[in-house]
Amino acid sequence: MVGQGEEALGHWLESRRGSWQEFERRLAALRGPAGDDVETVVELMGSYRALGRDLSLARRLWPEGRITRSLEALFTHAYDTLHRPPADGFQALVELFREQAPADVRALRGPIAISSLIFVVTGLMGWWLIWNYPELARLFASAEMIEEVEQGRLWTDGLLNVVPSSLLSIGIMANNITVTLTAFALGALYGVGTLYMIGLNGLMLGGIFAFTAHHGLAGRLFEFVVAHGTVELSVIALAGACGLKLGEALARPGDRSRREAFQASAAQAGRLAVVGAVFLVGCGVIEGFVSPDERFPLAIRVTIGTAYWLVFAAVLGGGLSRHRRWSGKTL
Amino acid sequence: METAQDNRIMLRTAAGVEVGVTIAGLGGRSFAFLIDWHIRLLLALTWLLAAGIILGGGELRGEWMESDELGLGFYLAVLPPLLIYLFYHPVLEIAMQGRTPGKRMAGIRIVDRSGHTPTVGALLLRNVLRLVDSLPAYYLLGIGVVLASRDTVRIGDMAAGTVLVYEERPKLDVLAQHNPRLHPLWQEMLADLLERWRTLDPNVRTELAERLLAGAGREIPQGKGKENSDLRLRVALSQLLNGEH
Repeated sequence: MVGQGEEALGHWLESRRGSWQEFERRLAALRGPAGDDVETVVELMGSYRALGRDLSLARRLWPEGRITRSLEALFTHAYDTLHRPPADGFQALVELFREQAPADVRALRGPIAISSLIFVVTGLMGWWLIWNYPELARLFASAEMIEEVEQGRLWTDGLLNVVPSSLLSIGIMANNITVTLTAFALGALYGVGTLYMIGLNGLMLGGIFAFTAHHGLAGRLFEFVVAHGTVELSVIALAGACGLKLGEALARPGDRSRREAFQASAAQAGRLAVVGAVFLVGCGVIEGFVSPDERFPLAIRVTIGTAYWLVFAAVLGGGLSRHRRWSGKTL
Repeated sequence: METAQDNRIMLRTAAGVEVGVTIAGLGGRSFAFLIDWHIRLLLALTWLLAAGIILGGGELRGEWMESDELGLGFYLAVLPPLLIYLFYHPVLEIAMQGRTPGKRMAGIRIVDRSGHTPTVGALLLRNVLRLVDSLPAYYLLGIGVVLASRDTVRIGDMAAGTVLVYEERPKLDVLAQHNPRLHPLWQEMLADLLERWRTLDPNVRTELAERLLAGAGREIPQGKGKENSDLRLRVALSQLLNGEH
């Protein structure tokens, strides 16, 4: 039933069983906590090449056999373990903030300008709409909020009597991050979802400011918003830009396929959306501890808002970059 | 390097050997998702129930949920389940290198186009885009895209450059030596036949078994009735494979 050559190959494969089992055992150990030993990896690379040769022989001998299938699985497993990219961890995070995010911002200057413009224009439209037709405020605000404002109070008054700052911060953070990531993700609907999201947020902000202005409370609302709002609104505009970039890749993929363009834009815009979401953690802390606390005067609120925005702008502008440019010269 | 071939992705490795991974379809995906969804739900409900009993002073009372004021208790009870629900997939996929308990049970995992565990960024990205895949409800858009796309991937996977594949784990028992006096190819044939026994036509498997036993110089067992003969043949094949008499 078996030729001489095949018999020799069969015996040779049989003699290799022990090596495969040992290889599998050492591979599993390499995935463990002590898996950084260079010598072990070098030795395993030798065994890996030998396994590749064994697999070729097994395929020739028994193309669909169990040993071949198992060797294929072992080889794929080894391929994943030995060729995996280095764990990036903290260094990658530093690199993201120092180099990648500023570069992404430069690449997304156009969408950032468009997104910011949409936000401002829809904000002004919201203001105009509610200033002229205050009864439409119910489109943007709940009945409770409207009632409070009509009684001369802001819905944020006494917020800290209800919820402690720490929990308030977490709730606000979660909400803001969700809004930001949604604005970005909805860009996958050819950017239309993002346009709605940014436009709606602009309308709401403008409308609510106009409604509070009608009742003489706009100044107090500004006082509440200014410390956290500078960065928060900038991040929403940034996330909108990321979403528009996604939409643009689908609508105008250029020389690449839609899929390739979408993937490349998603990686770039996704990075930036994540950076923006990180800044929202700070916004959440400020909104939980500073904004509702009446002990903080306006001057301090403005200082905090301005300082945080400057940090935000410095990071995204490449202030931490090793290749920082100053007057056209690389420092 | 990667090339697509029907439902497989072929990886050309640096060692010059080409290996393939099988792409998981909608069935594998849905199965994994359902398991994960139930785990998330159970964890969240358990927390909610425990918090309800603690906040109710040892009894399960719901007044604290009906209160207009969102107090500390409400946040302690509701936030953790929400976090479990939202972060279950990204956290576990990162910690378990492209797997979740559901995916593990379904025998699938996430890999990038080179067959490797995706980066943290890619895993986060595919999870952020769940927001779109889940539109308008019940993941309808995601399911539609999975059905329409070549590699049965949802929008999140397209963005992150990831794909779900069946995880074929090496079976050490296959590599274990059986009857040392039996030629390796005979061992292979016997093991293969036993493994596929139930899926083969009864007449075909009987003929194959008889030929193998006769070729090895073993007696062909006879039993009363078809089922009995079938069982005796399987036992005889196992004995031959393991070198028993």
